Amino acid sequence: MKNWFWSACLAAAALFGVAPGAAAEDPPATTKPTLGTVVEINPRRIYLMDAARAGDRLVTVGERGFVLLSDDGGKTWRAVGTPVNRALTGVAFEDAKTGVAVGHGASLVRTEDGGETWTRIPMEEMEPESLLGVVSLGGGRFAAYGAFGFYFDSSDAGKTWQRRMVISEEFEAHLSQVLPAGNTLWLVGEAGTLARSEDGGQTWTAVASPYTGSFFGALVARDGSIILYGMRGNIYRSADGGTTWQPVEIATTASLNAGRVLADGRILLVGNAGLVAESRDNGQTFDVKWSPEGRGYSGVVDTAAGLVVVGEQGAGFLDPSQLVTK
Amino acid sequence: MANQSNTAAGGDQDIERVEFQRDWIGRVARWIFANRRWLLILNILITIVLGIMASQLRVQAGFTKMIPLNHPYMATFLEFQQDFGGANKVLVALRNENGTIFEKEFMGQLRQVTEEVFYLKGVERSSVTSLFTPNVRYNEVVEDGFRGGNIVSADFAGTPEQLTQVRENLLKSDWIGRIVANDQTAAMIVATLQENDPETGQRLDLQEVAKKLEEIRAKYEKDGTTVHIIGFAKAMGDIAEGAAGVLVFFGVAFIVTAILLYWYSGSLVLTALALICAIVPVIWLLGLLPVFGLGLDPMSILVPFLIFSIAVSHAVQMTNAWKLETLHGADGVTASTHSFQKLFIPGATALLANAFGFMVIAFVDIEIVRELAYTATIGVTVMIITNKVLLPILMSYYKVPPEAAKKLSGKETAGDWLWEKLGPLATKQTAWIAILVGLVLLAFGISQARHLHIGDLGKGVPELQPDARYNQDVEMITSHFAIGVDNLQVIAVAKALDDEDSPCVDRAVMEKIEDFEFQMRQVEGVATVRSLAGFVQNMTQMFAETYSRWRMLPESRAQIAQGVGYATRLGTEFMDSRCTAIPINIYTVDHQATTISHIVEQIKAFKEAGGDTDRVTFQLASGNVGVMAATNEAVHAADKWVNLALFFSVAVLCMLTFRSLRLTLCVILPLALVTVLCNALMAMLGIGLKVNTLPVVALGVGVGVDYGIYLFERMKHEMQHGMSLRDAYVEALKQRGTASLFTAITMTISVGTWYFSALKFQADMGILLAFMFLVNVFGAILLAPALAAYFVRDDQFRTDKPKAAHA
Repeated sequence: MKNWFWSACLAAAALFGVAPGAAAEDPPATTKPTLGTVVEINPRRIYLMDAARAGDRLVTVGERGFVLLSDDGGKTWRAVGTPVNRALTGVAFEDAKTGVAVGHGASLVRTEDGGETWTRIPMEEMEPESLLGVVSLGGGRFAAYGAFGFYFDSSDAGKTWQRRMVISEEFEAHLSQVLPAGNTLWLVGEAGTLARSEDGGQTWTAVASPYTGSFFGALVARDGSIILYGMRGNIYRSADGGTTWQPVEIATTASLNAGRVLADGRILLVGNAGLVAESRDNGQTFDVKWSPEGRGYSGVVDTAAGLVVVGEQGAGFLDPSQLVTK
Repeated sequence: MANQSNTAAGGDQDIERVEFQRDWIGRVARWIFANRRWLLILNILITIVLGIMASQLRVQAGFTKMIPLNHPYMATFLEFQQDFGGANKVLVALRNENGTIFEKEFMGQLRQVTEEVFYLKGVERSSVTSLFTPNVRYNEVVEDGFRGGNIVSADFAGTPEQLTQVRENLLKSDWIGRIVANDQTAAMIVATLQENDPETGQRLDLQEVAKKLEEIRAKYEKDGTTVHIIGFAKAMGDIAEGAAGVLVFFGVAFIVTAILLYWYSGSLVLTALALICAIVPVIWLLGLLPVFGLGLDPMSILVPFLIFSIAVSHAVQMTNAWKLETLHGADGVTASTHSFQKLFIPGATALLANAFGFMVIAFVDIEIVRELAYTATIGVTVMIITNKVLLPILMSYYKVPPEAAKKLSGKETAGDWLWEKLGPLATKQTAWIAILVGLVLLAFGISQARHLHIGDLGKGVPELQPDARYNQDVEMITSHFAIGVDNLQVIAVAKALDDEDSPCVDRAVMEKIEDFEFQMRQVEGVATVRSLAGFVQNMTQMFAETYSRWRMLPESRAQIAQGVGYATRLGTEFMDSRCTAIPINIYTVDHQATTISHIVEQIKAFKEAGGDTDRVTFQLASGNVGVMAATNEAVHAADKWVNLALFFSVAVLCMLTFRSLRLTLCVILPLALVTVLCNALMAMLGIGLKVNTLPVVALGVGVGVDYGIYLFERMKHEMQHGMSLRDAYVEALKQRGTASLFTAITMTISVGTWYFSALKFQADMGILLAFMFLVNVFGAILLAPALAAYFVRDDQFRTDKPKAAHA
């Protein structure tokens, strides 16, 4: 029985011990791993909200401010703490080293070592509201966005942030995603929020929305068409750069939380209750399947080792042969 | 033997002829036999009265008797049991072996069983939950708010369209895993039982409910549909049924013992007398239990067996001595008085050793174990009268002429050739072999005993056999549904800042609970964790149109209160009415002791690493696994004390009997070896140290010491009269060895019958006691004299005036 105790202590020590170097040279406000965590994080038991690639590494973020790293395409994961204990909702990397993760409670942390250590950047202006996502726009530029229309951008790889107004002073819908499409940035969010920016996100113009419900994400298909998706399985597609939108019917009312254009051009949207919608025609039609466990997905990344999904059951591979139709 | 002619008082002609010893035993014997008629009548009267009282005895199984009430976890358990104890639930699952639940026929059966359960006596009807009850709804978030409906519509008739609709509604709901299997091959009906029978107002008869449930199973389990039933009531019913089976074993043990006794003694009368004197203490014990405010429970129901076996063993020593006397020409009365005088001291000492051995079990701070200890102690204590007094009196009325006695073809002297051969064991030349074997066994035992686990090692309900139907059903339901039957409940107790304060909407409090729930979910051995924090997170996601990134604990009090408000609708599942106690239900994958202790260690580590604050503390523990955790800790704490006290008290008794530390060591060391071997056997058989196996060592040592006491009492006696150790050893074996071996075998068979019990804890006890009873006799016969060869000189006990041994 003592063995258990010591392994628990070792696990705790391992967690406290992340990045001793960074902790030594930075001021106290920087890397301080989640205090009081005595257990070893099980990558299948942590609620994860987003995943991104940092070079060859996979980085996924979620519950209690934890970050999970995988250097073997998603086969094994190790947890590192961050200086925040609120759920991290989004993560984006500029390159293999530099990245930003955001979360609830105005949490924003950045890393310069591929996610090993994280430093908190205070976002006093928006406390205690939620950040819901972050995107890397290249050249050291990042955009972070969240609840009540909060939108910030950074041009120094996430060290400092400037608030930008979205659409108007009165605008206060939750923002779900910022999508770069060529020189245009698209923005989707709560209650049909749809906007575009031609100046890298400094100013935003509202676009007539095809839907009154909430969008949770957007992506650009290989043929250049734009796909919006969101609550109750709603999908809208525009093949003309956002001028007109066509609804794409799928036979479910489960929400779609995230999507990805795979290397072979297929589009994969994942959602609640284990929903997996796949399109082989750039989003004109989708084939709906479900994970057998029925647990929700909130992110998907494709790696050489396979499709990695994150969500209620942590991080794991999506095995298409295990999916069921209903 | 120092005999003297004495004229006995009283008018009993037979007694007047008998010579009695001059010491106090002789005087006691003279008084007893002089008044044998009155004592016999008194014994008969007592037996009748106690027999009547025993007939009023009922088997009870109070739950609180089985828990260590003074353990700190149990303070939490008792304080919050009322709020969060969880109702007495019954779960009936129907499984389609050849498909999913979305088939017309299966849904029809599910509807019928739902109705059967609904109308079952004792079922709280509003609590019945299945796909066919109106309380099972789905809720979905739509563009302008929430929308919901019944999963199975009221007009459901099983059309393909309706079946598709059911499946879709189900997927929108959170009922998968709760009343529908994760793989959708099974569906469940959940119902809560009322405390009291609605018709009579009496406490609900759980066995009756269990019987009715079994009838439902019989009716619907066919054609590819299987029925699986679990719940406290069903478990209790099955355990009670198993406990009733014990009576069969008692019958078997009685018959086997009777046959063996007859084979051994060759006399129907002696067999009958021995059996009578083995049954009488059982009757006395059962009659005395109500006097002492005790009852019988599934564990102590085994004590009467044990008493019967021990009584047979002592009766055999007595009839054996009596027969040896008659073979040497004594008449019935003389043989009885001599047997009494020879055997009263070693017999009473052995019984007192039993009593002490059983008494120390009461060190375990668990009521059911205490009562076992008291029951067994009373049992052996009354045996001093029934076996040491009543039996000689009865035998004194048995008049057998010596020539007839010789014709009784008993086996009393059958072992003499063997005992002669064993003689060298009590000499240094040969004794080292036995000691070496003993040391090898000791080394082996210690190496194995290190693997001994505390607590239960199996799955399912530990009282029942692992392959019992109930435990199979537990396995089926837990593997197909997201339902845990093994629940460790930790109560987060939050301090309210003032009377108006609701700590459970305070983020500082909730954040700790969120952290605790999260960390416990990571722990190996934990299946799922449910608490208010997770519920609020889910509700927040629902309010944010189900977007996955909104599953979080809100920052503001008002938003937390919104989620908590929904929890209030679920009664006290997630918090008490004052919002100061919040249970965290940790469902474990099993209830093995290593699983439990690992989780408990992690909880304690969490508390110490800042989990407990001045606002909220996490209190261990409730739920069935919480009780097991406390029980395991109590058993672990008691184990060494029980063994220490046991050997100390047995050693003291041996010292009083022998007045020799050397002889005491000779008797005690083999017992210690067998105790180690018993622990090794437990480790090898995967039997854990727990409430029911902890008393086994004490019972085994308490009974095992008898052999040593009987043998060495005689050895010392013979050595006092000038015999060498080796001769005394052979002589003692001739007088008592055969009887000892015989009783060891009968007792082993008797307790061995428990192995076939439907109740696992009885089976475990049976195996271990059988082992202790059998192996202890070999320790006493083979190892103890070998030790004596090194510890004792031939003239160690020789008195000043050596005399020839009395045969």
